[in-house]
Amino acid sequence: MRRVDTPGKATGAAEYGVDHRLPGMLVGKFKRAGVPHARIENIDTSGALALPGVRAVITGADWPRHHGPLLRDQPALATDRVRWAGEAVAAVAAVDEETAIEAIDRIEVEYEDLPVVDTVDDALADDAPLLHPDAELYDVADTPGMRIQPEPGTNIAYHFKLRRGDVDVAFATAHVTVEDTYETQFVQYCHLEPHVVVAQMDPRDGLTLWTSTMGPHTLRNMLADFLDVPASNVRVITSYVGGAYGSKMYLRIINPVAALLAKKVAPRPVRVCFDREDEFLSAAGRLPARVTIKTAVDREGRLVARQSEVFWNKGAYLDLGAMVVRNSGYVSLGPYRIPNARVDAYCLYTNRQPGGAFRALGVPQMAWAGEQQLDRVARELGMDPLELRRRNILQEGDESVTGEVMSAVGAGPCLEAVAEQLHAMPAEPPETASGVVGRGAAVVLKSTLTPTATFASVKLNHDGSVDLIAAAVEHGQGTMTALTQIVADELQVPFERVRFVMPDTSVTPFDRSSSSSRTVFTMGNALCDASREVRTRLLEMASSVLDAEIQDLELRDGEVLVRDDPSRSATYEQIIRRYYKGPGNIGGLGSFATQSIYDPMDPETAYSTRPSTFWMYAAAGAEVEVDRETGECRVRRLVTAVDAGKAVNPLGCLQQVTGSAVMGLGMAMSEELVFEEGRVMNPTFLDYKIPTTVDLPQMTDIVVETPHPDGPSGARGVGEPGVAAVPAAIGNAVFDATGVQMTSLPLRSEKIYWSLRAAEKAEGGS
Amino acid sequence: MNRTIDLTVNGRHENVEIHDNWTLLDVLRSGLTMLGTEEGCGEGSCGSCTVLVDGRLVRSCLFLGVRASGRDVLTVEGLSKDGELDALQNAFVDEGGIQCGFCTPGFLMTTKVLLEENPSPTEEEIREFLSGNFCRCGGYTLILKAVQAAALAKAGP
Repeated sequence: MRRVDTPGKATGAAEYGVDHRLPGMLVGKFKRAGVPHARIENIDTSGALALPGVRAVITGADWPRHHGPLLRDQPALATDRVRWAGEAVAAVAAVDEETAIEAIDRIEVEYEDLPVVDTVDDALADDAPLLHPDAELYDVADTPGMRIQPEPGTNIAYHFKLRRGDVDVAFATAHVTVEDTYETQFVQYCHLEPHVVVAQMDPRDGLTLWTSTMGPHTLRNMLADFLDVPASNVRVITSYVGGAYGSKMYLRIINPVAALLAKKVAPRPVRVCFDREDEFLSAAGRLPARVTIKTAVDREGRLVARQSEVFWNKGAYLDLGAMVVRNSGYVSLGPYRIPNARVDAYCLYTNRQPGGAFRALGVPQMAWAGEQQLDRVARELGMDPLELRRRNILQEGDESVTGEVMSAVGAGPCLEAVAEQLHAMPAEPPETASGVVGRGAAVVLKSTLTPTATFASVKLNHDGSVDLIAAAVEHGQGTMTALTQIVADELQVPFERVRFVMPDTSVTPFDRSSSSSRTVFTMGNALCDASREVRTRLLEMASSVLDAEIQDLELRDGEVLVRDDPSRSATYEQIIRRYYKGPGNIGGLGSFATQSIYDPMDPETAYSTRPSTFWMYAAAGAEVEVDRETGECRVRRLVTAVDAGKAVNPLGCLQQVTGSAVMGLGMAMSEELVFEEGRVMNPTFLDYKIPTTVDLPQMTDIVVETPHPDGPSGARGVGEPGVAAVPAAIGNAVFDATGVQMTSLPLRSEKIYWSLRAAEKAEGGS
Repeated sequence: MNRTIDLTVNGRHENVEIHDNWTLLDVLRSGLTMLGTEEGCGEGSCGSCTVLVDGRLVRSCLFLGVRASGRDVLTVEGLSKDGELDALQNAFVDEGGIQCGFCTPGFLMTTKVLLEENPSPTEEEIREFLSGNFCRCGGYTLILKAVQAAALAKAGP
């Protein structure tokens, strides 16, 4: 099955957000603060305003209203205070790029520097400067199952709690107990298409945005709220998105800046586009976490208790942070039966860029800790790590740590698929005399955004073609193709005859966003619902036109067949034309909403019998060679298995599995945005290394199928969990090879070298 | 506009008004409104903007526009003929070597040169040759398969 979108992408014809052009379009640019924490003493924009070609200059004072998806703690442009170096303090619209850049240079800002809160320890210190001294006064968005309550007098923006059984008693009586602390780094999205928005204010229709976003309706609603206008006054139109991975959502910097500039230069359109430095300094990214985790087992290797304490370096504003912290918090102990569990996860304000949702939403960080620690426990027990996992992994009917009775659990099948491939052949000997070889595996589960509501339209036209009208964004994940297949199948029309209408909030019905691996599941169900409506109406019309009972009709390949009398069959086109005595069409509006199956999580204990519409599962296995002399680590093989439920498009699923594995590989081996006192030290691709073809191990990518009872044809999300399993699997392989467990990411040679030397010293000294 | 340059793009003679500080990428995107070649980083790292100039691979974001004067430029738009994908494009589509597609034009142009220079490359040679092109969707294994399939298709049955 050829993807719908890729032939156009192969010819250069596909239109991305950056390709959108309008006549008379102005260039918008913003000025970055350049200092991580400061009071703004004065902003002088006179030099910029005097520059010929400048059409507008804005500062925080122009529109001081705050925004934020969960907590309204973020101004569009810094008002009295700067909280991270990449924050916008002013913006301009000018006739061309050069003028805009010069105007930005001419804006003078005077700062009074404030002490910088860079690390988790800085944020937790007794005398820590408070980033948001009045945090408790901010408006809180109503988010089901989440109580956002910044703790007054601290930098704690959110505290997630999970309580199950009695961990203290269990730890006191356990056979083996292990406790460790692990850390992860800030990872940038690095989608190759940058953030871009073209905005235009029309006196009658309001604001229109042409932008690269994963969630056009969510963006529209948040922007309307921020501008204090009805949602109908904002329209968001999306074309192809050149990669997002959780980015390009919510307002952040670019959307408010573009909207406020467009208001000022109306009716001229203005385009704001990030350059690569903006992407590194001012976009969100994967949040760093410090995880202290403790695990206890009995003599047979059964988990009796696990607890984790997690500190998240959230950056200047909460953004989606609390969601990341909660949704990764309740899976931080892994896909296992754990009778006694405790999690405390804290989201801390710091003077760094506010990280946000990033493919697998916090789970890679949690798995790096929990899955590595299991291998330590296995070593203490003298048990094979795979066997330890087998004894504890969630099975059909088991209760999860939140209290859900699990079904259609893909964790075991993913782990077994990986184990089989990883150990299918003996490891080749090391290539160097000082080399050692090891293997390791990890398994994860991930939830999806819940509850959400999704709507979609399907229109059968009088020529027999179908319009699929859905706010499902194609950002590379194959959405268009999978959804087209679902509709073609439901309505029995050829795949080629389904036209996918690109998302436009004035045309395509509401959907939360094409994120959280939820689109095939939720939008697929909504489209099935819409298709059924079309089908029902078509059969009614056919019954009338063909003078046959509905139960004697069936749809096949664009035709209505009368059973037992093939001569009376008619094409869809004929049915519609005969019925209406001319052209016409049949429309269906479908929906899929999950509020009725969702059990809101208890904010004190995280108890919920159904916190997630569906669960995703993945496992990874790695074989590494580590040079004991130099610390150099080479991943030789990487096996990744993800449960697709039912693969609607097998090649599309494989693309997601291999892509998520490579993203996990980058996080494991090389990627790290380096901060010093709140400043980013490596904001270029020369210094921030993402994997390329030469970094690739021998890869095996596997699509596992454990059908989900509620998914379309059994399908479930597949895009994210692979990322989460890979770093821990590689860490476990290093542990297996060297006997030394690495606690922080990424696994740079230097770090491994020093860990090996420290271990030797400890051994020699004992 | 500071000056006019003459060049050939995808076999067509073009006369473009440009600014002196424009890159070849600006000439293509702003001067000719040819939007198939994409800018990923603007600093020569990611390979998205790769085109051919007189048959040689060039990062168009680093190549000064005035230097393109009198030259023969081939971009992604020049690969398909009469709306039909060429063998290389077909291989990328069929093998799943395209996800978000933003890097695809750069990969296609780089692969075209690879297969001209080395019609049956080993996997190692492909990896080496494509190492300057980023695919953040991480679809490298399928891209490698696509290149191998294209090499086979080119070699014929």
